[in-house]
Amino acid sequence: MTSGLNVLKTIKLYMNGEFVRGESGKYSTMKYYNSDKHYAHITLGSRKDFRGAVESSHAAQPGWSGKTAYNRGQILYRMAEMMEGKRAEIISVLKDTNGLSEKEANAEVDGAIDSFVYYAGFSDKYTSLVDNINPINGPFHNFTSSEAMGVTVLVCEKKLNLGRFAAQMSAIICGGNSCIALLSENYWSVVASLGEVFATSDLPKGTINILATTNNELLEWFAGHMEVKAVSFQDQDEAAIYKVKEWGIDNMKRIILPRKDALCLEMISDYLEFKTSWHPIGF
Amino acid sequence: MIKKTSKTKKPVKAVKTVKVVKAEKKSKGFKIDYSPSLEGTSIVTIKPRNELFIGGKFVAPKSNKYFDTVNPATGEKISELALANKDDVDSAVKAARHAYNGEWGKMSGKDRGRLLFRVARILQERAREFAVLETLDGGKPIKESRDVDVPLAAQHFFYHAGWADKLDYLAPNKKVSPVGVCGQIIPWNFPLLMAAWKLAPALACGNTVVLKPAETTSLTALLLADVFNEAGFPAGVVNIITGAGETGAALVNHPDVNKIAFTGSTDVGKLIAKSIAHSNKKLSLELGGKSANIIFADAAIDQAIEGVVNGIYFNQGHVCCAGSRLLVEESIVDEVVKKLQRRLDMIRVGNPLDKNTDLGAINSLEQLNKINELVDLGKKEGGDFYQSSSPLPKKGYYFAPCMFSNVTSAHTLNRIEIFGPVLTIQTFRTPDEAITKANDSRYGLAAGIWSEKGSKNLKIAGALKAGVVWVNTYNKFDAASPFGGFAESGWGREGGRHGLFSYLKID
Amino acid sequence: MANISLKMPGGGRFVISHYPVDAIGIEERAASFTKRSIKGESKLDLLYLALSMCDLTTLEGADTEGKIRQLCAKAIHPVSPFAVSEIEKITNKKMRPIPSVAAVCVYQNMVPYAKKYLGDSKINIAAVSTAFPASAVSTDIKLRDVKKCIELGATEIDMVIDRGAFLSGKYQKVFDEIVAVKDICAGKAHLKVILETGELVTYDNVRLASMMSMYAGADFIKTSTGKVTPGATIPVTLVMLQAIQDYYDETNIQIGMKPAGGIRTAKQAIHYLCMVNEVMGADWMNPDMFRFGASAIVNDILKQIFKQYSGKYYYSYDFAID
Repeated sequence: MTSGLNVLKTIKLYMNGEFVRGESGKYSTMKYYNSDKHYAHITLGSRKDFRGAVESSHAAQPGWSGKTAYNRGQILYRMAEMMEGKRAEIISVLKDTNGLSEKEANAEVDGAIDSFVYYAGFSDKYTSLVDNINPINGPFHNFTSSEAMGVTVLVCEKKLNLGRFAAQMSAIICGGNSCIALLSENYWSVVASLGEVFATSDLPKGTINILATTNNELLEWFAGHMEVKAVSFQDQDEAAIYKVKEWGIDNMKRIILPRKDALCLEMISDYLEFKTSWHPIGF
Repeated sequence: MIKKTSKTKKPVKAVKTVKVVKAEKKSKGFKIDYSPSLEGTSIVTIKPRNELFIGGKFVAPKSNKYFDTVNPATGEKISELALANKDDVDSAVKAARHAYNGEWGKMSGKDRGRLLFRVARILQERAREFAVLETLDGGKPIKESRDVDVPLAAQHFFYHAGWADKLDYLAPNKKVSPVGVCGQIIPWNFPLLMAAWKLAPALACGNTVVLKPAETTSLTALLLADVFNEAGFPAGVVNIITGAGETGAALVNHPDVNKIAFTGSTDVGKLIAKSIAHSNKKLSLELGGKSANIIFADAAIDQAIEGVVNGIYFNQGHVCCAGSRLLVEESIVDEVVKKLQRRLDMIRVGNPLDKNTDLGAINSLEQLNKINELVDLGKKEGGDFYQSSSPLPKKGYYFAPCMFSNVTSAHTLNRIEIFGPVLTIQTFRTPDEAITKANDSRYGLAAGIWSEKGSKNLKIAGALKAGVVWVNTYNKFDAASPFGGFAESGWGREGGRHGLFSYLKID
Repeated sequence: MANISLKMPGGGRFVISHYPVDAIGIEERAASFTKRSIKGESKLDLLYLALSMCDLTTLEGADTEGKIRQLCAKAIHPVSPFAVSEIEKITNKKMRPIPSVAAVCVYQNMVPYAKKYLGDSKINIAAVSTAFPASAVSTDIKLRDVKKCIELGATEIDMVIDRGAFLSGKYQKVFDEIVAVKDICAGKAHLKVILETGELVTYDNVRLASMMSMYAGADFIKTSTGKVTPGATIPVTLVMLQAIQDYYDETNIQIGMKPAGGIRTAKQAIHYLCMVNEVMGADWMNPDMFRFGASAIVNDILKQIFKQYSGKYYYSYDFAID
């Protein structure tokens, strides 16, 4: 018989398919909405954690983009299924810590599911729309084919919007990239649930890593890391964006800025490289 | 007119057989006895009698008539199917129109997609059940229905579900809308997969459907009706009516059908085209083929042999795009023929439910008789005949795979579609000659090229009059890959972006 | 087709033309053998056959006389007669006698112990040689290794080809070395040539190396040393079998095949044997033409045999570890 005392929650980093404490020991205390009551401790990612996340995502990326598009689509669809299974849990968490109403919280979950399903359905189609055979003036078969960029860092918006977050995440991995998501305060409450969705969706470990951060603390590290090929900066912080653009020049990072419409083809092609190949035609 | 099954004809004596001469070897090992490894059938419940699926419910046919459906592996009856007459067809079309004007027509693409995703998932969950039923009903090996038909069908629904809310990408700056009520008639060689190929794109584009499966293989389509109900499709979106030629004709000629899609023989396809020529109905056709498989001397020969085997013996050769004509570069023909003969002897013909069976039953007695007739004709016309020594089961409709080498373009078997495990082999000297011979056909469905030289492959692929070209592989299908033929192999494509256009109006 | 021109031992040249291999095609065909389902008496027959095809192997720097003694005991009696009689009591069935394995496979300095502890059993003594596994020494040292092995009592020599030479196009060197080793072995020991397919990487290379080895005098071609991953795989073995088939068509000489490294379960063994059966036919289905280079597999085969007799799954305690 339980004593009536609940087991308190611990929210850890989601790294390489596991939930880990983080090597710096840094944490923040989350409170219930508009209250001083302790909700949970959340591990914050340090620069060493970020470095580890990059190693993990870098190792995972070739295998992830090597899967067939159909496979990736199936996994994205499974994320929607897992998310649906966690609806009640996420709603309760959003009400408790973000102060959302039942209706608003439901809309957040719906938004995320819509995004996963949308991109699940695009994964095996977008190449039909963005790749090409080019009509060369000579006897050559010439085709432009899209590929992933590599390890992508996703800095989330300040305001909670699970639909847009899921859309950005899905568009990034849809094209075969691996992703490190840096989630700020308003998203901390769902870090655990999101990690669990990714962990139970047959996603190869390292394809997505989640770090909770605060105040752009890791800005310098991800903007400068040479193995990070792209940064999706969704936060509307002009000063921060300028810094990222400047520090990213060393390895010519691709910096992707927010789009108004989160469910569209262009979201996917934002994270693609295009390779054009030539091959002679003749006996 | 439903034909009664008749007794099997006695096989005609072989006219000329050339067997490969094996070197004298002392046999020091033993041959494995592949005792039958039968897939259990208890997962499937076959109703003794099946009704029509109209307006979301199973209803008795107005004709009050039923006909038998048989398991070709045994020749025994396994169920009864309803015979839909003109009035039944009318009810089905009305139900489809009602659904189109109602709930379905108003549904968003996103929601249509959700329903189709559900169908894909349910198919994956009930995969074994569908695979076993497909084998029982049609005679194809369980290995194929389990590993090819059912997964591809599930993929087809999954793929098209994703298009439902993205159709605007197909025609930027234009208005895209469905065509309306679609009448779809499918063949008996891939019953479930053909149903998926027809239903998925039509529904993704917002149409409603009346589907007529082949009269010898309707059971998996009827089981699909179950899945559509389980997934929550509004009544009347999908209607399934069973019957034979007359039922199909009634559907084709019904005035309130906006589009007809047909997969089957070229002869019937032409009849259909004729009967609706004076109407505004849209028509897509996927017809017969006599596809060439071309092996060059610089091919990966052993893999080419496998590809040829897969090309003509997969699904007992009941494949519209089967590589039924082998064209071999003359310098390597002896070796290729020898390897093929050796390979033929290792093909296991047997009970389709046996996991070790490679080649199952011929789909019907009618088809078996047709194959026998044509092979007899082939033997009369000459050429070197070789047939697999695989023993055949005593009951049921079976045919051992065979080949005719040293034939030419003039031989009948080289020109007409046999739709059975019969391969013809001729030679060529140069790539130009290969192309000419490959294109020498009224059909234009598929072709195969075997060579390790990339530039040659690309050039030949460009020159072949075929809607599908397989290079260094054969009989590969994917929901994202448009499939269809040139010339008398049909109109339109199925699968991929191109496959959607025949189910849309774009203004 | 690629053409490699080689000088023959007696003078003159000959050309090995070999077919390219399509990787997707070979892997598809290989996968078809894993779908074969063998049950009942046939399965038992195959398990017994597989057991009789095993080359029980120990190739460790830490090998000692004691280790070899144990290995040889297991080679002769893969399972103790006691365990057999227990099964027969429980099931009331007479069990077909468990055969000895085909050979033991050891390093040069362990050969005398193998000879001592195998006694007059008919089990072969295969010695790995030519500076196995890397073969990174001069040719004369490789040949002295072979001579010594035979002197000490080896009845089979498992040599390795020079992969560095192969990959840098020095095919004549690779060929000449095999010819020289065969010279020493002829009449005294059968010669297996290990290609180390994991280092050759492409199927094209494997096929070329197979043809070269056979023309140079190999009696068996073997996939791997077991020291490199990947070891044997079904597609790689299929490529080699197809080369053996073509060589047979050209010369009427039957060459044996030995996949080694990575084969651990009875289930895998059965898949390989289905492949041999369907690609080569009954004439290769015996230990003179096909071997498994594997040790852990013996216990798994025994477990499966016991299961066939008793209907129960066995644990490992009944089977001695070598």
